[in-house]
Amino acid sequence: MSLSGDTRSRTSIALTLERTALSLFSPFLQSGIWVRAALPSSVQSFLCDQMGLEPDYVRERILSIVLNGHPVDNTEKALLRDGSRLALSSGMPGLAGAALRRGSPLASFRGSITHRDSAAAGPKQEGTICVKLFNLMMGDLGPGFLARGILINSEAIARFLRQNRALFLEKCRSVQRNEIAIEPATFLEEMADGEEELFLSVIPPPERP
Amino acid sequence: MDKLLRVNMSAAGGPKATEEPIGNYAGLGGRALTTAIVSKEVPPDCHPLGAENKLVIAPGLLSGSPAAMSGRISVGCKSPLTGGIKESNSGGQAAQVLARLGYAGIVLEGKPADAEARYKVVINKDGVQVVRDDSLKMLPNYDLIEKMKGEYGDKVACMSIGTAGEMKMGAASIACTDMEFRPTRHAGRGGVGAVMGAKGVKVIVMDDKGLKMRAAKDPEKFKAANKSFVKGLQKHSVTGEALPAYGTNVLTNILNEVGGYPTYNFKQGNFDGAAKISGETLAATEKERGGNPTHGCHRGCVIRCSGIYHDKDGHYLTKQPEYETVWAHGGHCGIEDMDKIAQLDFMDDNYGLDTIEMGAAIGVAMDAGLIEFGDADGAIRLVEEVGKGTHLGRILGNGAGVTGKAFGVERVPVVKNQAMPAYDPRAVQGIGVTYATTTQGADHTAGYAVAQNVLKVGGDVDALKPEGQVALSRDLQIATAAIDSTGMCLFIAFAILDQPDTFQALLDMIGAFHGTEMTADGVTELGKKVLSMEREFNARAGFTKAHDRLPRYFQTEAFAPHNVTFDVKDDDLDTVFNW
Repeated sequence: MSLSGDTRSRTSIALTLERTALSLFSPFLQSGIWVRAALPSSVQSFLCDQMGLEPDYVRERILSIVLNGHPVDNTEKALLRDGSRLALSSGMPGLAGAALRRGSPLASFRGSITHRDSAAAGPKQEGTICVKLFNLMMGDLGPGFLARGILINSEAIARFLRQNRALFLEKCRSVQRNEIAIEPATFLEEMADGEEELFLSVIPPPERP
Repeated sequence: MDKLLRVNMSAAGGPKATEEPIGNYAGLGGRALTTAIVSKEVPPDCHPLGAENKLVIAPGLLSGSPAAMSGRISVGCKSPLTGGIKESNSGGQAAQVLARLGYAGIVLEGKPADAEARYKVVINKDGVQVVRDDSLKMLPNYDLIEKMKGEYGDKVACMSIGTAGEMKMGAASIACTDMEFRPTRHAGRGGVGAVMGAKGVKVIVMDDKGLKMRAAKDPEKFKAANKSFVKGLQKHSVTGEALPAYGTNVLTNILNEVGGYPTYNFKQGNFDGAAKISGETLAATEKERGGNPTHGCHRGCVIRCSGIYHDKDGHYLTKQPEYETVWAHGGHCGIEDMDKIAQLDFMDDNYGLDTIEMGAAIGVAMDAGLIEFGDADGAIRLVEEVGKGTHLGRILGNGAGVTGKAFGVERVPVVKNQAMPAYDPRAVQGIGVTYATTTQGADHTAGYAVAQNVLKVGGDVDALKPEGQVALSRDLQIATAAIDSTGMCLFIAFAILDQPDTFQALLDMIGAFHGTEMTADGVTELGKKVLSMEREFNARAGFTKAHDRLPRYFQTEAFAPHNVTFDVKDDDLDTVFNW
């Protein structure tokens, strides 16, 4: 699946969902979510400048990064383009897990599939990339990506929410479609019809003082 | 731990147990002890199922003490699967209990005169009994352990074989009971269960009631080092967060993402169903059903990478399957139903089978057209055939190599006749160097990520140069042989790799316990010594450099999605053990 083109013309859905229910979206996070980005961009710039992550966090916490199936060692020189697939992981166990780390002393073990440095970036324009969040990254970064918004096929999200209907209706505080409030139950019913690409954002309700 | 227990199954008048001082084997534990005894006392050209072979069981240097992560137990013999020397280790309670009983090792020798006899060996503070009990014959592990519970309670530890071991299959494992007294931990690789079966021993019951933990020579220094060691494990993101949260199956997503996840019997590196059987999905399912994704396999484990898997109705089905199990019965066979994979894991534990070898054999059978890739119910039927010992089951139960020959399959992923684990050696070629050259047959744990940057065995290595793979594999195999000899869980490797102070805490802990100083150089020498003994045994058993190779198709068949082949030169492989 690939989502690209003019993303701003899509229907936008904003869900307010209790924080404890955000894990409902874990299957999407590990399979891949499509997000808007200014491209081309280095992985480092995307994570820090566009996603707002601290460089220390990226260095110390995101220990394995995979771009289009290739393990990345240098995040400054790995370039995201429209349609790129980026996977983020914490440190993994095992010999393979260690070898797949950025800058691993065992990097030669996977030398045949290592990401080679990309060409220099050109002028930026909006595009989309697929981001996969594995393991600890789901909890760390998932809420941020969901709040920022993801591009998703309406049929996929409808099928998913129907499977978790009771929990969704219990935990969903509000739904806005194109900035107009609708009932969560109505949203579920209408989502079942048709197939379109949506811009979906999911945020938790404000913390009580 | 200054004595050996020898059980002579051939003794006149019936099996006889004797204790003897550890003698020249003093100071050795785990793999170092099993390898030393097998290499010295077992004729390398003997038949693995004959009276001349010995089954050696050894806890680690710190087992039975309060040291964290010290619960691995090594099992050694001449392997009926590979024909070479074998060390296979396991978690569970056995190491701790056997060490508290004061034994550095158990050596099962000889062979009973009556091949139909079944024995249980019962060890407690009062002594050792070898009791004939033919009622145990052909009991699967869970039934056997339930019977032992009725006789000895659930505070003992058991090592046992299922039906596969009694039928002397090459994939037969030895089960160790866990903290819940279930037979879920296995010395799986190399057919060690078949050797126990050949000795006529169905179960070893170990009872440490009335015995205390082993005490350190320098208690204060030991306590401080243990505390520092635990702190190091808990602060590291792998041992303190990823493994406890998701278990080893956390590897599925990342291996699949880089195209290194062998799928459909090593035909491609991506599996479409990976997210359905990932560690993340597994942990979520366990939580949802009232299981537990964070659970230790023995007392003293602080990583807790295991778990409890419940079925859809919330009932116990099996322990949390490991990454290699989920791969072998999952992606390798094109199966994406986690409940079926969990059921296969339970069956392997129950019949006493190595999950890697069993899954690999089924994948080869699928390649032969016996059943379709993705046929989970078919795979379950095949494992049932193995457990019952039908003619087909006996072929499959003797591993991927035999299965490939029986069904005329060229693509058989074995080295020294042992099935490869869950990492394709074309995508991660350094692992292929270890698969090819290890003394054990294809084994991902033979060269683990153990402190290469700390030990610098053989000097600094340029990790980015292709030739670095050979040197790194050598270093890792040396370090791993040493760690296996301590009885420590290999998963401590990650904290040690990154945190020199944690590595030093481990050395201090061993040193304080035994009243000696342990250094990185000492660890290196121990590892080299173990590997040298193993290499020499294998050479005398008939192994040559021609056996240190991957199957040819790994060099000729490009592996998608990266279309890579294994291109480490044979001449380079032949230098791995040059030191």
